[in-house]
Amino acid sequence: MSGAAGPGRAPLPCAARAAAALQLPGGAEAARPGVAVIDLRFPRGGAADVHEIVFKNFYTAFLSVRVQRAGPPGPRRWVTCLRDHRLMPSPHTEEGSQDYFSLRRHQMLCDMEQVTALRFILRQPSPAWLHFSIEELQVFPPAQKSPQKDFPSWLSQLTPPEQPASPHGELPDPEKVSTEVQQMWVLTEVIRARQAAARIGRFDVDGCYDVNLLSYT
Amino acid sequence: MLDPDSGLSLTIARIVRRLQGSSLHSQLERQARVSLHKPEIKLESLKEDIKDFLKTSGWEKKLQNAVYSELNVFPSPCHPAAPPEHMKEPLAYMRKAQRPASEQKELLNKWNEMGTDEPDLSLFRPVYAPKDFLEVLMNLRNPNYENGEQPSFRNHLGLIQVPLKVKDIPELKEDFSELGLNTGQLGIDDSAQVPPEFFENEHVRVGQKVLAEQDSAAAQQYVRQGCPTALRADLWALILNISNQPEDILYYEQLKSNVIQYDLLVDSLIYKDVKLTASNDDYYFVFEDYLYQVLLCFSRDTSVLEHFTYSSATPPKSYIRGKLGIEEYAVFYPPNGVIPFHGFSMYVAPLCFLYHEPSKLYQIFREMYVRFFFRLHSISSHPSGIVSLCLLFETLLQTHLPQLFYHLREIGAQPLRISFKWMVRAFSGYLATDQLLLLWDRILGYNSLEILAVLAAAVFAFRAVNLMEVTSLAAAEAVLADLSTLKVMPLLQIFLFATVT
Repeated sequence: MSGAAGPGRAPLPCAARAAAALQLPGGAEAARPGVAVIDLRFPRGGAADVHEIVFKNFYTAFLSVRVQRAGPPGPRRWVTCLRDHRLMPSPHTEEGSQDYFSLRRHQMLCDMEQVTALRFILRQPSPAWLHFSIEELQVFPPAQKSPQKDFPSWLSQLTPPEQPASPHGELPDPEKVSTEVQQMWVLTEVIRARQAAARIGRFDVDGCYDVNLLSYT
Repeated sequence: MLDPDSGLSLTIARIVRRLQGSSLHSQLERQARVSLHKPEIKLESLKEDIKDFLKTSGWEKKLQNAVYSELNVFPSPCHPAAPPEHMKEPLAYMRKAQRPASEQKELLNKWNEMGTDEPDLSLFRPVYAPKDFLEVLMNLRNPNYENGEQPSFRNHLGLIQVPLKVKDIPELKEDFSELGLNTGQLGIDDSAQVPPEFFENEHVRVGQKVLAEQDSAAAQQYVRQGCPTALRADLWALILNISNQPEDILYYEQLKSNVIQYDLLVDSLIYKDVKLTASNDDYYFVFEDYLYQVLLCFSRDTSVLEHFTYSSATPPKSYIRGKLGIEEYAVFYPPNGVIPFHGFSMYVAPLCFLYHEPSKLYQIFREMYVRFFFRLHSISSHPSGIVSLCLLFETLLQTHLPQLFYHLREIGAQPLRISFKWMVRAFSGYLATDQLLLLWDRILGYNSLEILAVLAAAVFAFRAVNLMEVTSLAAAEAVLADLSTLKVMPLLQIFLFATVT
């Protein structure tokens, strides 16, 4: 259920109620109204800043989002932050019907700080689809500044220059060796950073394509 | 959906990653290093001077062509939360409808039947023919779509019941605007009655200039009006970004040695297919040897597996006996992941008219396959996929020739049953070769296969009068059996631009 989060981002924990279809008073049986509502609240009545909402569409054509914000005590109002956002360009056809979408802060009409509840109003005017909903709903807070990477510890440890007793001279000069080792290290880093995408191998047969060896069951 | 900035940076990152390990990258580096010896490169402005040098020596153009080719082939990046199979095919029920399981079972049954000593070709049935594939497409259903019993607007009158978005004629007119009545076309304006000064000479001159510039994007735009025969081979190679470097020739030779040394079961399927289709064709029987050379190498080429990242299909996998499920003992079978179906060799045959060097012919075919032809025999919701093409054909016919459509349906001759085999083979083997190559010019120029569906509808429109009088499927097929006298471009122009809607 989890999508790939950006670096340093984790989705906010929240509880989403399943989509409830609009019902006319007088409770008739299943007429398909084409409007459904999903309510989302943060646990323990908490509030959070919302930066991005990510979800997977399932045949919803239009989406409106309203938020309830923590504020002065009293009856809380719902504020519309997204009005009739089109998810499917042509509601009778498949385009966009199962795609992943992101709603970002700059697309919202109102402030998204200290949000206590989110309400997603889904509309699907085409009668061609049996069900519609949105899935894998995730809410992300604004990204924190990434912390300074720690330097590898060995870089910061400066070894004191020792003067070992010089051997007979059979061993190579340590200065030369260390510069050469450093060059080799730089080369390996460069090679590791540039993995070649070009194919250098050909397909190897060595008997592994023989019919008698292969089986499917 | 992605917003434009992050989408662009994702695309750039992906292209850079792909080009970084390629031979073009090392050649550019080598050129840059060589240029250091030149007097005009100065140390203070090193970066700009090298960039200018690369621009004037034509290397920047090569890089542009490579980037353009990557943009054409790979789809735009998906949302970061989307799993990789979503990028290949966003609709879940189409992913589930893939063929590999049934194909593999069918191959397994055949392995058990036949002896392994010598391939007695009579024991081989082609794995599947276009008819079988059409049956699979007809049975595609979206579980969330209301296919009620009562006829309603949701039940399509044709064979395809999947509600994909297809273009209508106004949209097609806009997309194919270069085919309009006011624009010169090869295939129309180069006929004997039209003096060549009007269009043909100028067009050839522009073509030679495009070739001299070596610009892929310009070539793709140019080819929309048709390609002069003399320039076609080079222009197609430019659009597909094939340069026939020594390492490409070496790769082809390696594949050839693999063919000579090792035997594959798929070879028998290829032999049978070539014997049944291309060898019986008046135009292509002379190329039988070329076809074997190309197709046998093609089935051993593992670089074709790369196209499965953006194809909705998955290559069939097989395991060494006894080690089912262990990944180290898995191989893709055949090595290129593509099981040839009946008629597969017809994708190669027209190209033999253009290219005589086997290695270049091979590369052109491989590139055309991984860009276009694979869509014609895999199930996907892509606008150029065969499902969309079938639906586009049926919708065009229903909208603009409703009487004909109704009549054919009433006599039990659903139009798609006749035109499906044309579209699956991209009309190869049905049209005369020069007309076919003009059609394939436009496929390359517009980077989409929709023109096949439009042509199929145009053929029906052309023969509408005869078709209204038939009373059975066999008679309808007889009316449409011979397309070899048709001229492709006038049909397309009339259908798109000159029909009263």
